[in-house]
Amino acid sequence: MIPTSSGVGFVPHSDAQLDAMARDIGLARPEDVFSEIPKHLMAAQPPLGRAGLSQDDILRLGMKAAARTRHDRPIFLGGGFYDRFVPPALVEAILRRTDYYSAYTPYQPEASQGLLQGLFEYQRGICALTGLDVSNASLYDGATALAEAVLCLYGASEHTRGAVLVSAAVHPHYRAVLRTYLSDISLDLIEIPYCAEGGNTLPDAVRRARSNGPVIAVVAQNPNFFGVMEDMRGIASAAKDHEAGMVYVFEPTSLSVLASPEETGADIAVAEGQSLGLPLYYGGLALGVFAAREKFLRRLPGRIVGKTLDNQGREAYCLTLQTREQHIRREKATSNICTNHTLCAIYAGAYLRLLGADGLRSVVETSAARMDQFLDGLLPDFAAPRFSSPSLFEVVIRSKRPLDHLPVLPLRSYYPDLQDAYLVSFTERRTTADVMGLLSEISRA
Amino acid sequence: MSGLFHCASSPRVERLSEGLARRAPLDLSVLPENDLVRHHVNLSRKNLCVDSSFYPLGSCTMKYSPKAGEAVAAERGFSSAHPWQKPEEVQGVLHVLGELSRDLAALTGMDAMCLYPAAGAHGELCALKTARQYFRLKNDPNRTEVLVPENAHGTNPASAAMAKLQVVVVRMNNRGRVDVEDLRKKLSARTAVLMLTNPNTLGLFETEIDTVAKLVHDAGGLLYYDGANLNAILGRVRPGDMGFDMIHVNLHKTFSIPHGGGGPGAGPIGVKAHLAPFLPGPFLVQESNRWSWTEADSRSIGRFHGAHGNFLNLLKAWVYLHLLGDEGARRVSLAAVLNANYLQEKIKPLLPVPYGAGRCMHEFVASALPLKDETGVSAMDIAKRILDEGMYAPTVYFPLLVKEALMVEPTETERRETLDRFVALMRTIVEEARTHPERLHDAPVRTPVGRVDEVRAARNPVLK
Repeated sequence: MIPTSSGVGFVPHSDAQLDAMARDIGLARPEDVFSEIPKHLMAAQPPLGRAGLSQDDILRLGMKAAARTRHDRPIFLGGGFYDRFVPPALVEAILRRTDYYSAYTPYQPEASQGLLQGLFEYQRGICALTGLDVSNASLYDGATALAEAVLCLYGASEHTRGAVLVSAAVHPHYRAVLRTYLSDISLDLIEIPYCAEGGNTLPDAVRRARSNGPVIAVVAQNPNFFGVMEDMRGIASAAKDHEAGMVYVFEPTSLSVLASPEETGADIAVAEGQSLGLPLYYGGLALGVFAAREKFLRRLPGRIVGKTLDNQGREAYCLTLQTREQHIRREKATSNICTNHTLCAIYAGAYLRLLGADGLRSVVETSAARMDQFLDGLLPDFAAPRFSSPSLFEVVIRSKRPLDHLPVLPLRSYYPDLQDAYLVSFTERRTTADVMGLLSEISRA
Repeated sequence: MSGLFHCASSPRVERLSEGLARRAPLDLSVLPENDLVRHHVNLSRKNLCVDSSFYPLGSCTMKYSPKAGEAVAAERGFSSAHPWQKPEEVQGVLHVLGELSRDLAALTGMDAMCLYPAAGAHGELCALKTARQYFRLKNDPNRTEVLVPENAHGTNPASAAMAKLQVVVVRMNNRGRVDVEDLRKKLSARTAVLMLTNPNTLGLFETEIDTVAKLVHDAGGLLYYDGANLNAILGRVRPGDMGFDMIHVNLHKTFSIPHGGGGPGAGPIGVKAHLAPFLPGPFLVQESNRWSWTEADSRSIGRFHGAHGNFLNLLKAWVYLHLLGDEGARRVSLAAVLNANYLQEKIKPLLPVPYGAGRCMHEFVASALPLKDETGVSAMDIAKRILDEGMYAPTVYFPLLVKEALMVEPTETERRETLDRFVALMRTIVEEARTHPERLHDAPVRTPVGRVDEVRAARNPVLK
């Protein structure tokens, strides 16, 4: 018997109270509310086949399951999700703040000013970071944000069919999700091979690419999946030669030092926002970042928050430009996005303000410094960098012996030509000792 | 700098080439930690939320989110798990995903689940693409029409359009249910899917679901269940038993995970066995008590998420279902529907419920049309006035079938006393509409800001 102060199923009514409510509205018993459901549809068996646990039990079970995650050694896994420092101030003031997390989409702006202002500040931060004119209020994750970016360019173009040129050095999962999204659409996905020596995408390779129809979009990532810094200005200029839109897939902290999407001539910039200090959660507290030039404003997917006035002339915020959206335009909407990732976006906006430009630069510099230490200590007898082009804070190494037992990412399943290659990622949380430990493990492999 | 972490400098960054380096200044309007915390605590107080207020936002199932979910989510083994860790290093994470898949399949009567979709609409798109792939590989590629009832959620037609399927609207009859005769006319060899919410967006059970399912299947189409309203039938009626072939569920509705102010949510989909091979991969498999990922074959539509879906939310739903058990699940639907019927009967004397002749399910739709004709007070005015009393407003102007609609969903986690307070407030408001209509036109006056000028926001967009 579970003490029912929180109620079975979190239902506060006792049986007697349910009976009384039923009688009050003229029903003989509470179950009569289901009288319109044909009897034969009622489940014959209890579907779960088990009783509920107590709260004490589930906390214990949760602790037990969590204990099975290995975290006794520093990880060097990156590839789109980063083990960044998670500021406790933001966890307390945002992620675990019930006034934020137990609210819903701010349909009633007067009772949702906090969420709206938080999202507005996020949009402002993303615009500052990317240099672009407009940001939406978030999408699901980096991969789906890329797919939405290509669909946005497709929708804005006059063409009904065409091609998308995607660098093979863009995250393999992003390319896979994009392929899924485009599978029913008349857009060919053409992969531009990366330079086998440099690991970068050559603007000329983009320029030379041939397609059957007009090129709608060119997609490149910086730093790319291998951690290598791309010549985004060159790639964007090649995109211009194709009269195509340019999508810049970025890692948010890196824009404190790398050329912004605006500076390179990109039209749309997308990112996985987890690396703005969000906890990892197995990749399941993701944030799709999406920013674009002004001319795409009315084609943006998802929610947008705008600043306006209330009836007293005071500053106020609300969801705006909603005529793009599914609840108004239905099948003519720019996207089907409804629920997005508000809580993560507010958190990311706050992270940008907590760290500022200098703090973001420190994240990048510290991560890069650990990679420098790693590369300095890497003995050619065991392993060496695979590519000649410079990386920022992630690097691909070729190892003479298998390193699959170490917390680095094997690339062979993604790239058959990179059989003995591993992606090694560094964040500001790694220490000199962590790096030395990894080097010593590699030499003992 | 800030002391958040130990800093080091790198010549690599200092010596970035001209072509690579950022030139534009980066202005992020920094705030010190203390001020930033204060800023957000103060901002957060400018919201009504489930933990502060009754939140009868129809179609959103704003139920209480058990704090046990937050407590389990705080475990470091979950928060620090990296998505590319090897399966043997994250067996607890995979165990949670595996159990949740099994439970969701059991509750919905499906054979296979896919946990990747990050929201309901993402699940819709995923399922529609799965359906398309199914027909394509069956050499039946001309099935490109999606039938949706005229009162469907806006995401249904929008998702269909994203999958490049044509939308065909099916009429509702005067009982607020799918017009079976109209459906019969619109079904054809081009029909891919009928998307249906049951109970529908009027809060009514589609009593002719057997006929609907038979018609769709006889025409060679698939039946899709929009799980937005699953709370009404949880543990009692399974969509799979009603003839549905595929389903999405909104974990942030029926399965109690917090809504996050508009996400992150989670919108897993489920399918019957004949559709399982076409789901996005990789698939989670269990062999002799060990969980791992296995790549899908070429029949799959491909990846649908950058990682493995919104794990944090999947975890909270796992906690919730363990707390419920079968008895809890049935209690949820019973109290959700009883609360809604209780409210419907108490509201009816104040505002008509156009399709409210019989029993509603978890929600109902009242209309302010006669009151507006009489007093000039609109559904929106009523909604704004409710905010002034510290309650959130019902969903307004949806579904379009009801003019001046107020869609009310109390959920099962509200006490009778709370419902009575809402009824008393509605009574006051209806009286005020007759005696002091300006009080409603001017509302809200006690919220952090007064009525917000949304037209101005759209005309002169200030977005950063």
